[in-house]
Amino acid sequence: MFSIFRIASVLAKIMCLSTALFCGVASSQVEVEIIADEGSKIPITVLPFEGDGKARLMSEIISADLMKTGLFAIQDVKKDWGRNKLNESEYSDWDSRDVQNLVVGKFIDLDDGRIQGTFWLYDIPGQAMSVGYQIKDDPTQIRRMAHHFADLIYEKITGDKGVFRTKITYVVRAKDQSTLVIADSDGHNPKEIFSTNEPILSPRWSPDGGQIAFVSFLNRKAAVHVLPVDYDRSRVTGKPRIIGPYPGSNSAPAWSPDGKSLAITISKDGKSNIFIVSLEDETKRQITNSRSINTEPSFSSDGKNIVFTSDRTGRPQIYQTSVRTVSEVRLTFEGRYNASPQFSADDAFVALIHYDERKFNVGTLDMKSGVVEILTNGSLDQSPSISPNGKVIVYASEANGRGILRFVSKNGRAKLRYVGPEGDDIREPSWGPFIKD
Amino acid sequence: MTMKLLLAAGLIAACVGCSSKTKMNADIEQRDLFDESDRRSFEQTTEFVDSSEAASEAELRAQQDELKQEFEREEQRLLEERTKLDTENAEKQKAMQREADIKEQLSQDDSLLTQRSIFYDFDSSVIKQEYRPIVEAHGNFLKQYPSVRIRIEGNCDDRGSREYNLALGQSRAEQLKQALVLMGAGLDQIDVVSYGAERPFAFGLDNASRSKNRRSDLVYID
Repeated sequence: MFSIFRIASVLAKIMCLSTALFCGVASSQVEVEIIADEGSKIPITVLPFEGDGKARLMSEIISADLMKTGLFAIQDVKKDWGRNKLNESEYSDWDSRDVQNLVVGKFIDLDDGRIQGTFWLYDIPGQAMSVGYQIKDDPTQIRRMAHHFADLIYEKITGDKGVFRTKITYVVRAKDQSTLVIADSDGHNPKEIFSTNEPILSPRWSPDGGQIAFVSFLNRKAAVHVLPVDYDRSRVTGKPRIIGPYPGSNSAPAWSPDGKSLAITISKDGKSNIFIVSLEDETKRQITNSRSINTEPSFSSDGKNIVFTSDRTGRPQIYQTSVRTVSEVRLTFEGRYNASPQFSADDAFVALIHYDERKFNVGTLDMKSGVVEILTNGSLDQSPSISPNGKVIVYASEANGRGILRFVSKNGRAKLRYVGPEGDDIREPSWGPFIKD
Repeated sequence: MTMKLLLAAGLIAACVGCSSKTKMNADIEQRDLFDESDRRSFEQTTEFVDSSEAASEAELRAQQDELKQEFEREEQRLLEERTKLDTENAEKQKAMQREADIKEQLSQDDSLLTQRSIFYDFDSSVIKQEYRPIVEAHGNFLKQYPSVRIRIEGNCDDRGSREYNLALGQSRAEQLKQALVLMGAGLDQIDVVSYGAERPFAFGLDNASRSKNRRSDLVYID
């Protein structure tokens, strides 16, 4: 299946049974398969955490998080020792075993019913502790606690912010039902938050994570909905609000960076054009004006520009315009079909889908060089969404006739596969923002 | 307000005239302007002015007039009602016949009107030559029956961007609408929607299935 890319090793396959889901599915199986190639990686050793029942789960989650970035080589150690804070004298022992980065920790159930996790990250060659951190939380938050530790380790070693505590949302499609799901970014803890008999597409997190805009159908016409959610707790906090609806088909919502407006596409009288609508009073302002298809807007980080898809030359290609003046510039020239542009948080690149007459793949367009790099090798890859740190892209793909999610690192070196519960057709992922500490 | 003014005007006229003839003229004039209760109050008021004999004579005549007029009005009303019912029945029958005609025409096996889908090439909303006769048949039919309404539903296969496909489906449906309008169909007879790639007809991932999903459906609305 992955013959085009030389996959050197299947590093791990984690199966887990998730708990009963909100909307009535009795139980479901979530499969996260990690496929990564080898290359120069940062060696790290995560010792099993010392302590009560779930202590080992903590260290396992941290290892899995780091490994899945494709940046780390997880080194196992045979001898089960030194599981707690290191003494000065131990550095030389670890050094002699070629360990460079060492994580140790402990986990206990507190008397007040909470749990407490503590970890230390050591720079062995430098003979120094680089991070020490302790968290107390509710027992239901054990995975979140481990992801928090992984974020701190990742940030300390790579200098980039980690996304292990972030969330993704996606759509589960059944025959006559579409369901919006919020899950942890590693696919665990899927929570069904909204179901409808109409199709759902294009869910998009608001910049603060407090809302999800999506498209569903109202009286057979596409309409933009905004659903209030609790990002940290993966739950819905109110009823969906319908924006407009403006006459015609309303779709492709994109949040402005300040979260106060949405760019949407209104299709009417044979044209599809992009408008910016204020969420406060629902007034709209037209951005594009051509007799062709203009859709899939995505804002730059300063909110001054949008990239979008247009077929004004007869085939879909990616364009950029200022939201203030008419200044449309074509960005893609290679391939008969480029679409679904998404700005990275630092505006350095745009994720897109690219069609070369044989297959649809996810790639990146470098905004400086204009070079398009293809990162995936499926046949029907679509709907890319970039992690808030710009390091990973989640996208919809398919396996055995059903929709699955895949993750690919920006450098193309790490690939993950997320398969939904048996028979579930999952699609349309959107990556949420950073957790606010 | 107007009533009160008229009543006052009547009273003044009656007082100034003070003869039964003048009063009766005033009475007749006022009858057209006042309803039952107003007139009664007018008559009661004017009684102070006239002798009681002249008043009762006038009253009797007025009552006879009134009865006669009421009878005439009732007769007129019944006549109108009957005519209206007859027209309605005729219209109903006509409409039923028309509906039967429409249904028959739409369901005739050999009619092009039974073909309600047209199919497209990938990423194209151009109506292919082979579907021209179908489009013409529906266009002429809509022109012939301006009361008939249809919905055009644009669809795409599952390849490529879902959002782009939503817009492409809209574009397919709109172009078909324009073609029907050129044949003489009215703009208000046609509603246009797009389901993009969201409501596939065929679920296979092969070319045959996909070509079935790249289509516009003409749905006649009852």
